[in-house]
Amino acid sequence: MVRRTLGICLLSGLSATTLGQDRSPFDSLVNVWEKRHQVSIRYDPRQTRGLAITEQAGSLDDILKNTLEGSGLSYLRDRIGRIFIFRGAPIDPQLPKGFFADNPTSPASTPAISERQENEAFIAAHANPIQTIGNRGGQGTNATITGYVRDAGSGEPLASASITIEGNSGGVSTDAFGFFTMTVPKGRHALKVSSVGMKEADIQVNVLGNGRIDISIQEAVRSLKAAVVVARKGSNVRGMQMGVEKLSIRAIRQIPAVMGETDILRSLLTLPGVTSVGEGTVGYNVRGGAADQNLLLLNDMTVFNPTHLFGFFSAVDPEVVRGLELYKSAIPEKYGGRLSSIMDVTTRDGNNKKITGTAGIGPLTGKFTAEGPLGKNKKTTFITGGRTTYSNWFLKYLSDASLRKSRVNFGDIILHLGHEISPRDRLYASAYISHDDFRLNADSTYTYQNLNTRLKWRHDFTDKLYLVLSSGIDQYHYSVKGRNNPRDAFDLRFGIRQLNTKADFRYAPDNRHDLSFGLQHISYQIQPGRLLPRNTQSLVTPRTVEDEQAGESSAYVGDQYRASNKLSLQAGFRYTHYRLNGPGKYYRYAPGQPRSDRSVVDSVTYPANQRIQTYQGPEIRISSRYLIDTRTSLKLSFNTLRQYIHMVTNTTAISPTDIWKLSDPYIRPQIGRQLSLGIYTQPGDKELELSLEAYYKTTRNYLDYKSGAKLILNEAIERDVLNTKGKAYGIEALIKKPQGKLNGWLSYTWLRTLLQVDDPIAGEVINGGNYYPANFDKPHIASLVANYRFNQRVSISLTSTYSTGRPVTYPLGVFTMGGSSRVYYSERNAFRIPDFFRTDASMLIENSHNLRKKVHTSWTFGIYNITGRNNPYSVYFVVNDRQIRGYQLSVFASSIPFATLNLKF
Amino acid sequence: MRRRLILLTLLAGTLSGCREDFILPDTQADASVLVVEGDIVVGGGVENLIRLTRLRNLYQPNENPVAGARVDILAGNGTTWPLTERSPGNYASNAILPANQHYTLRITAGGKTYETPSQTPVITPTIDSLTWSQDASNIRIFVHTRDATNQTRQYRWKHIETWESRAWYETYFDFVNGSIVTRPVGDQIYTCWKNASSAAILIGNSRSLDKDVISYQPIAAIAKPSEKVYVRYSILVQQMGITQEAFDFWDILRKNTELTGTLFDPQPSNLPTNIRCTNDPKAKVIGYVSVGTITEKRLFILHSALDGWPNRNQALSCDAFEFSKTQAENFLRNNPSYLPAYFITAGGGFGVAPKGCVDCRLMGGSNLKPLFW
Repeated sequence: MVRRTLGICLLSGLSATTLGQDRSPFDSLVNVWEKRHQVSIRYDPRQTRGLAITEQAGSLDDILKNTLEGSGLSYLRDRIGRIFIFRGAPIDPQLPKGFFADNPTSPASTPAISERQENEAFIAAHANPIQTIGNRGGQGTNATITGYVRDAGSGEPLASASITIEGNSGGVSTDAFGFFTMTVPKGRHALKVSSVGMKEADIQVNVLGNGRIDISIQEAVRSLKAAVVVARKGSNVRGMQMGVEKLSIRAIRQIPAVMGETDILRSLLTLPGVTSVGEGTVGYNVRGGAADQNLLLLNDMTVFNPTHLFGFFSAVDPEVVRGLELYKSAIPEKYGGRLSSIMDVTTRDGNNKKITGTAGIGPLTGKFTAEGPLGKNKKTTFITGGRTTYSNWFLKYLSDASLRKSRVNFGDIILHLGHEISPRDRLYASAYISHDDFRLNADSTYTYQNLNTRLKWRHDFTDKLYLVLSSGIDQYHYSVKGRNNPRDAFDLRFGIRQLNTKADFRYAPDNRHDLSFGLQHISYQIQPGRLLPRNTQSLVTPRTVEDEQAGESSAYVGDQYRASNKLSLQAGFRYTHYRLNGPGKYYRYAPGQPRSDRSVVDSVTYPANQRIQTYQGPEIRISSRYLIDTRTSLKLSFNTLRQYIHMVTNTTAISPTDIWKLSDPYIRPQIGRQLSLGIYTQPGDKELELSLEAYYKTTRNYLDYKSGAKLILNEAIERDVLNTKGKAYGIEALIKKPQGKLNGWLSYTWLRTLLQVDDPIAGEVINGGNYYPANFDKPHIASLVANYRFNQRVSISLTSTYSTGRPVTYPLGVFTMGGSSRVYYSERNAFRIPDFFRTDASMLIENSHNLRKKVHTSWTFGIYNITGRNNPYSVYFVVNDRQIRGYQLSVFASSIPFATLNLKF
Repeated sequence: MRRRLILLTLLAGTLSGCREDFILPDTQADASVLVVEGDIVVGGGVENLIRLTRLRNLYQPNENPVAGARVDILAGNGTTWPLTERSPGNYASNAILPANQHYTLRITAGGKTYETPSQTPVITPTIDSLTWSQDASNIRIFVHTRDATNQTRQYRWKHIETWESRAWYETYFDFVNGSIVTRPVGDQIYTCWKNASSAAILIGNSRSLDKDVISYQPIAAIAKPSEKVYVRYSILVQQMGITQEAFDFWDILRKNTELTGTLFDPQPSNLPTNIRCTNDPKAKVIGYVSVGTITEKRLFILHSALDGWPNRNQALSCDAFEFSKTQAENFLRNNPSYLPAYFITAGGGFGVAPKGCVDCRLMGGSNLKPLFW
């Protein structure tokens, strides 16, 4: 329509602005000119208010030139003689050629732009120049625009940034690389680009044909006035994914952590549905799932033991992290292999403008990061970060004599490189090493190591189709050495290695479909246990539990389909095939009998590469999102998942000597199903986000253990395990205020997770065959994270967590045997330990906000566990002087103050 | 090895050194649960003693013995060896059982009959030696044994410690009927002998080793400055070879209550048992009865062999008052908690001291010398 021309936009803004305002000298002059010269003059009276009127002689052009000289204003005439007065660069008043091409009725199918939007577009046009995309002359009324969204300051690509067209409820998000592709009707549009922590950008584009536009947006650096409105509202409401928790590094930094160390896993625990068995434990539980049912990916590398020092510190330095996404319910079809959750942690690519770095000094650890471009053409970026501890001084102050002679060492380092081979090809390489070393009492040592590498190549076939091909090795091993008595000196080892190769395709033919499909293969190799004599005097018999090896292949296909502006559907299908290969020796047992060393009838030895056992099956991932209105959405999802690798542990937390085991003829893969429903809304103008999710999960083939099960160096673990089935259900509620001086979130979760022995040849019953609570069943969990920014330099944070105590088996009676009183225990997990409550606070003081200063410093002070409550982790009973005494063991029994210094240069 | 692992995990568990008392809510114990403690000993050496009690509430210190039960040992060849009730709950027999039979135990109590399966006695190897060593804060005693046939593999030990304990003053006098008299020869109250039985479950196995050798297995520890070694100390270690299942029972029992409570405790497990109720299969029983021979060895430790160990309790305040004979008798009449301690040769008076400083029997123990001393 005619109204969409550039000139009209100006006209509507310029028209009749003199009504009702005080007349300036220029206004009077224009009045006179229009009458005298029969001409129409369009201008913004605000711009011309202060103009002084000079010469009135000469042609209109001369007069205009003289009057406007030095004012920053200029003028032009269009073809029919109208005069426009404006500020800045000249505008072409011509309509673009071929604008009225093809079919003049097509504009009817495009949404009309209202007058209000034209006004806004006008203001936007004056703030930002219009970008032209593509060339004229292409077929069709639609064009595909693609490109990258980056942080203007560092050049880092921004993932999950949202790009929408003003007036259209559709829109797309950038992928993990910051890349987007969007099909739009040709013509003028106002694009709104937003990302968490960045200023919202409005970009005027003129789409002539398929083309590329790279968008850089500014970080929301706090101005001296009130906080700038950032991130687009609606990401949770509009986002397709349900049950996804996203944390940016800013949010993670605000949560006070042990000893002033920012910690990724600890910040994860403040989100709804995520709990841990206790402080100082390695794993976490998501929606009532076991700790081994979570997959932690760091740049697509699988990290098996993601912590240091028994869980006090995460093994990933938050400084290099861009953000993390935790998928709890609707797990996309490209992920698999674990039942409860996938945590995808991505690092930044590295500043591509200049080399920068940070350093931090805390009471227990020191860390550094460095990042920047490499090479002259700046096509390569790197980021690296490392951390180490010097906490041995702390051990000297402990009361326990045996601990004082101990030594603790840990460190980790990560390196990530990105290289742009061509605009269509990018190469990435990541490597991560972590190392932990404890020497207890000068005679026992425990060490463990993670070693991960990955190489990734992204190739864009067309603007709509790209492939990411990646491959890497993930490895974890530990070693326990004891030497108290030379005859018993031993060395116990465990190792797991996987070679993981993936090909992921992404195809977005139009704005309605977003297809992904691909293949994946993992080769596992596990050394379940090797016991070696530590020296020549030792009488320890070398024992090796034979290696296990298997291959797991999967193929998936899925589509995210926008059925209408209100309804989106995501359907995915994944098929996995697992094969356990020889060499290996497996026992056969008498049928119908509990498996034990007394019921072995035979054993079979398989040669290398022979198939021992195969398991396979489909997985379905369906989710849907319905927008009730622009502020509220309803999401429903149903998933099935399969897991072929298990962590073997009969302790409540992941212990240093837990091992991983592959599925075999007796240990079947775990199969899970989850149904969830959620409501998300952003009421009023207070910028609150509310969400409520309910779920129901079932699990089959979950492992539990017989009494007195021996799990270390056991070559036939099938004799000590029980097959159980589990069910978990719950409701999660979250209130979030992402912006403002006071921001943060409050979450509440109600969940139950129960197990039941499901093994006809168990030979033993737990709880008489009824459902009993799992070790991580905590009915009520509430978390509060609140931050308040006083001014530019000072902010405080408060984190508070409450949860019901975890289940425990209590003693019911006492008897005497072996000279002492002994305890008789109740049914498994029939009682609970006291509830858990902890509050931490910290204050961040930044020394200077001058953007141009070379080195920025900031201090963090805080108190961990303000109330000093000694949350019991373990409750146990011992005999003391022939009497039963109960004790509770807590990890933190008092408040711990801390201070940290951070440098950024 | 397990100990090592538990110690390792202590690091994380006690970083702030926080272990506190925990009081459980009081619950009613199921008093029908029968607890059986004892083994069938063949070949003599130690008498057969079976103790029967019932499960009791958590903070109730006194046991509930089962009196009036009928306890018999049945041999494979049909012979029955009944046990007689010496005191409530304690049933014993000093008959010597032949080692070449199978044995089961049968108990009838409270209308229910319980039986163990028929077991062959385990022939326990002799103890090689008992050794001890002293470090800065403890004396540690170790047992060493081996089975040349590599059959036994699992062992359980008990010990009885005996030690000589002396009063502060060696007195030859007594206060009888208001006057100080000389003690009869041989009636001394200066040296006493005290006993203690083991209170911990002591088990060990050699399954991870090539040969069936037990070496440096800790049996007992004496913490400085215990009075056990003020003069002379003796420990009698009794060893019994046990089956794998019996070992598992004692191991689980020990783990359930003797753990140090780290972050990585396994769940308390159900105790296995080899005692079944024949007329009520649901009845719960606690205990495991093994059958085997017992071998013993004794170790003595003299105070003179120790390094830097006190020879008396320096914290005792044993000041004596010195009086003439008449005054002493007067004093003793009015202060019955004192006794004459020594005779003052110069002047003919007496020193009197609190009873506990003079009579060793008041600190526990008996003044009768054991036969083996």
